[in-house]
Amino acid sequence: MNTFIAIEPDRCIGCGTCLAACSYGHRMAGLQAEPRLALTITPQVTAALTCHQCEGAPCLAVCPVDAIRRTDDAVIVNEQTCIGCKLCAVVCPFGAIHPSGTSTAGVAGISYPTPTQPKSTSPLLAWNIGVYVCAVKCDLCSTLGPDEEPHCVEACPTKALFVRDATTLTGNRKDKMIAAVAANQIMMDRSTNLKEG
Amino acid sequence: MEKHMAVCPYCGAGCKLNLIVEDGMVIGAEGLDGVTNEGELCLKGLSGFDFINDTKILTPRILHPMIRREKGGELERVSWDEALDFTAKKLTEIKEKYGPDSIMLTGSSRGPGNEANYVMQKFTRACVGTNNIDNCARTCHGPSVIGLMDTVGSGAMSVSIPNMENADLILLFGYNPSASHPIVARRIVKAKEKGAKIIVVDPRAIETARIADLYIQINNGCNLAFMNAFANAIVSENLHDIPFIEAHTTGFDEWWNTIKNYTPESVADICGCSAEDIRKAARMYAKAPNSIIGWGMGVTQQCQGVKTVHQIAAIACITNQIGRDNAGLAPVRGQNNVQGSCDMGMWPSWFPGYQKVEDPANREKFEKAWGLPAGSLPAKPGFKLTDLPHGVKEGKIKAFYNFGEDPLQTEPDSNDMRETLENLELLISQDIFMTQTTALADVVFPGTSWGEHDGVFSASDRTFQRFTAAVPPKGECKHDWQIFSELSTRMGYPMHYEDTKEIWDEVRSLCPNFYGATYEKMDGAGHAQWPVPTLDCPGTPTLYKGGQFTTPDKKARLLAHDFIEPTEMPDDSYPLVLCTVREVGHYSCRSMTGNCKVLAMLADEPGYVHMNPADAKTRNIKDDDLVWVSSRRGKVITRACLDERINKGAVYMTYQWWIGKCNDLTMHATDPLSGTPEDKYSACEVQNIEDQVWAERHMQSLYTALKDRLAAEAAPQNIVPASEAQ
Repeated sequence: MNTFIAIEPDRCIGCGTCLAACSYGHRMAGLQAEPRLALTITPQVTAALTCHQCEGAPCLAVCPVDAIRRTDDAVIVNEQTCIGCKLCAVVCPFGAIHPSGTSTAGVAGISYPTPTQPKSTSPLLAWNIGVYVCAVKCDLCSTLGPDEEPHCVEACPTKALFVRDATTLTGNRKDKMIAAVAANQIMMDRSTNLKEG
Repeated sequence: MEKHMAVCPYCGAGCKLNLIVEDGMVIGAEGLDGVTNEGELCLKGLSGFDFINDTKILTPRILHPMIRREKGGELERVSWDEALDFTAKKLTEIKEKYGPDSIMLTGSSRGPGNEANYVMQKFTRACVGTNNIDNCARTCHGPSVIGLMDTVGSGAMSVSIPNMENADLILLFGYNPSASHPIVARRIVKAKEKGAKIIVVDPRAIETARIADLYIQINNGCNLAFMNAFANAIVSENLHDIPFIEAHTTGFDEWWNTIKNYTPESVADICGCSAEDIRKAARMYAKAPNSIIGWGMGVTQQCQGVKTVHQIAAIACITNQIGRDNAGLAPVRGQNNVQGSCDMGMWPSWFPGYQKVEDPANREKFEKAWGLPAGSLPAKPGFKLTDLPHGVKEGKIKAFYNFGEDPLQTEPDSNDMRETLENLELLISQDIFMTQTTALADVVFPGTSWGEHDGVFSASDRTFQRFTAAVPPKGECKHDWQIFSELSTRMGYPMHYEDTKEIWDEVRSLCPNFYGATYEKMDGAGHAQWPVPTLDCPGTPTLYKGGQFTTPDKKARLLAHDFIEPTEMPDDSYPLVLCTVREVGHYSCRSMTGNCKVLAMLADEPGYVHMNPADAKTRNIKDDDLVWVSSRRGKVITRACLDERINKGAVYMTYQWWIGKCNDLTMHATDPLSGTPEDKYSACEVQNIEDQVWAERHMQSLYTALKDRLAAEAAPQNIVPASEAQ
C-alpha cells in the first residue's frame, strides 16, 4: 500500500518549520530547494499538505517523458528528465505538484529578477525570464537512509506530521473507531466557537 | 565536522542547539535537549545559521572598522587604533562641550549576550558618566516590566515556559505565540492535549484561536476596557479570593472604586464582543485550579500598555492565580536576550540586577566595585530610547551609540527617525551587518557575530543559558566587550577583561539574585533561572510562592485606571486600523534572517498586509496583489493577503520588511508611563494598483536599489588603508 505523510491539524501551529526543513534537505541532496509541502490556512484549519503517493498515481500516468516513477514507497520525479510540461500538476487531485526552477537572478547579489506577470498568476502559468522549471513533489525524502524519517516529520516542533504506512494505519483505524464513538458524544463541547461557525 | 553548543538567537524561548561546522563554515543546526525546547527547534533555529558565513543575500557583514571623517562624507576603512582614537576624541569633545547627558546609548538584546551589555552599561555609567542607556524592551515589553514592578515587584514572567503545559487554563491576551515563539506555542498545544482549557482574546483569529475553548474577537485598542470588565465580572460574581486579597494585597477598595463602573455590559460596544463572553471567560479563568495569562505586544504597544499590565497583574492577584508553578503571569519576551538587557541594567534607572540608580547605597556599591571616587556615578535616571527623536530636536542629545539594533527599521515613524539620526553630531553603530541605520553612521565598529563569541543569554522566563563560539571571528571583527573596554580605556576609564567568564563573575558578584548562576552550572545544556542567590540554589522557576511578592512590603499593589481611546482613531481619509505584527520566519530588523538562504526563500519583500476579504473587495484588491498602504506619515508598497481570520476594519503588517516597511506608516505616540510606541494602532488606508506588472517591477527596483545602496556603503571596507598596505 502507499505510504504518505499525514497531519494532525490541531497540532499544526502554521510555523512553517516543515517547509524550511524540506527546502534545506532537498537542496542538500542536489534537488530543487522549493518546499514540497504547502501550508494551507482557512479560518477553521491550518495544515501542511503534501502528496499522497497515490497507488494509481495520475501524475505518473500522464508524464510524457517517464520522468515520474514509483519506488517501493514513493512516487518520484526525476528533475533532470522532467520537461516542465505541467501535465502532472494539472491532474494531481491534491494540488501537491507544482513547477519550480532555480533563478539565476540574485546570485551573489549581481542580477535581479524582472517580473513579467502579477504574483497572483497561477503557478502553472507563471514564468520567469531565464528560468527552466521542473515538477517538484514530495518524494518522502528518497535520498535519506531507510531508518531516517522525512525531514519535515523530524523537524515539526509540535509533532503534527506523521508517516502513515501499512502498519501504522491498520493499528490506527481500530483506535480511531473506538475513539469516534466517544468523540461523537463530546464533539460539541470540545469544539471551539470557530469550528461551530 | 564539529558541533558547538549555542542558544538560538531568535526569540525569548531560549532554545538550546548545536551549530554544525565544516571547514570553518557553519553548515547546519540541530536541537539540543534544553530546558525550554526539549530538542525541538522552529524554522528560525533550524535554518537561521548561515548569515554568519556572510552570504550577502540581503546586505553584507561588516568586517573592518570604518569612519566618516566629516559629516556626510564617505565611509573610510581605518585601523582599529585609528577608529577607536577618532571615536574617543569625538565623544570626549561632545561630553566636554555639552555634558555627559548629551550622549545616549542603546544596548543590544540580540546576539551579543549579557556580558557585552554589562560592559557597555559600565562604560556608559562609569566612563561617559550618564544613565542614558536603554534597550529595545522600550519598544516591546517595557510596559510589562514597569507595570509588573509596580504591582508584584518583578518585571519578568512569574512562571516558567516548561510549566505552561501543566496549567489547567491558559488565557492568551494580545499574544500570538505561533508566530512570535513557536516553541512556546508547542507548550500550549501540549497543554491542550493534557486537558487544559484555552481562551484566546484577540482581534485576529490567531492560530491558537482554532484550538481554543473560547475565542473572543475584540476590537483593536480596547484592552483596558476589556480587562477592567473582566475584573468587574470576577468580583461581581464573587469569584475573587478574599482571604488572599486581605493577606497579600493592598489597595483593593480603591481599585474596586474604579473597576465597579466597568460592567461587561457597559463596555461590550467598545470591545466589540458580548458581555456574556467576558463573563464566561472570567468565570473559566477564576474557577480553574491553575490559570496562566500570557500576553504580548498586543498589550504593550498601546497608549495604555502599563495600565493594562497593572490590571492583568491585579486580576491574577485577586483570584489567587499567581505564585504557583502552573499559575501566574507570562509576558513572553520577544527578542532572545531582551530579558538579559533588562537584567544587565540597560535601562535608564537601573544598575544591573534591577538595582535603582536613585538609591545612594546602590551607587556607593557600584562606585566601590568599579573603582570610582565616591559620588561620581550619576543619580538621575537617563533618557529613554523613545526620547531620542525629541531629545535630538531639542538639542539635548548630540551623540548616539547604537549597539546591534536598527532603529530605522524597528522604531515608529522611520522618516522622522532618519531625520533624527542625520541631525546627530555623532552616530556610532556597532553591528555585524550594514543595516539601514549603520549606513548613516559616522563610526562603524564591526562586532563579532553570534556563533563567533561566547556568553550568556537570559531567556524570557529568567533562565540564564550559555552559548559558545562555533567559528573564529571574521575579518577584523572584535568582541563587543573588547570594543567597549578599549574605547573606555582611551577615554580615561581603563577596562580590561580576559574573557566573558571574568565579566560574568563580576556581574554575579554585584547582583545578589544572579550570584549562583555560575558558568559551571550552565555547562552543556545546563541552565540557571533567577533568582538564584546562592551557589547551591538550583534556581527559581516560579516567583511569588505563597503570595510573597517582591514589592517593598511583600504585598501586591492593586492599581486600576480608566480606559481611554487610542490616539489616532480611523476617519474618512484613513478608515482602517493598522496594527504591526511579527513574521514567523524572520526576526527583528531581518538583517540576520534575511541573509539566511532558506528563510529568505520562504518569505521575502515586500511582505504582506493581511486584510479581511470584505475590506479588500470594496477596494478592488485581489489576493497577492501589490497595493499601496498610506498613513499621515508615509506610503509604502506591499502585497495583500486576503485572510478571513482578520477582523474587518483592521489590517496587519509585519515589521520585518525594508520595502513594505510598516514603520514608515506608524506614529510616534507613546505610553506616557513607559515611553513605548503605540505600534498596534494607527489609522491607514489601502489602495489597489491597476498595473500589477508595473507594480511588481517597481517593487523589485526599490528592493534592488536598497540592496545596492547598502552594498555600496559597505564597499569601502574592502580598501586596505595605506598605513597597512605594505
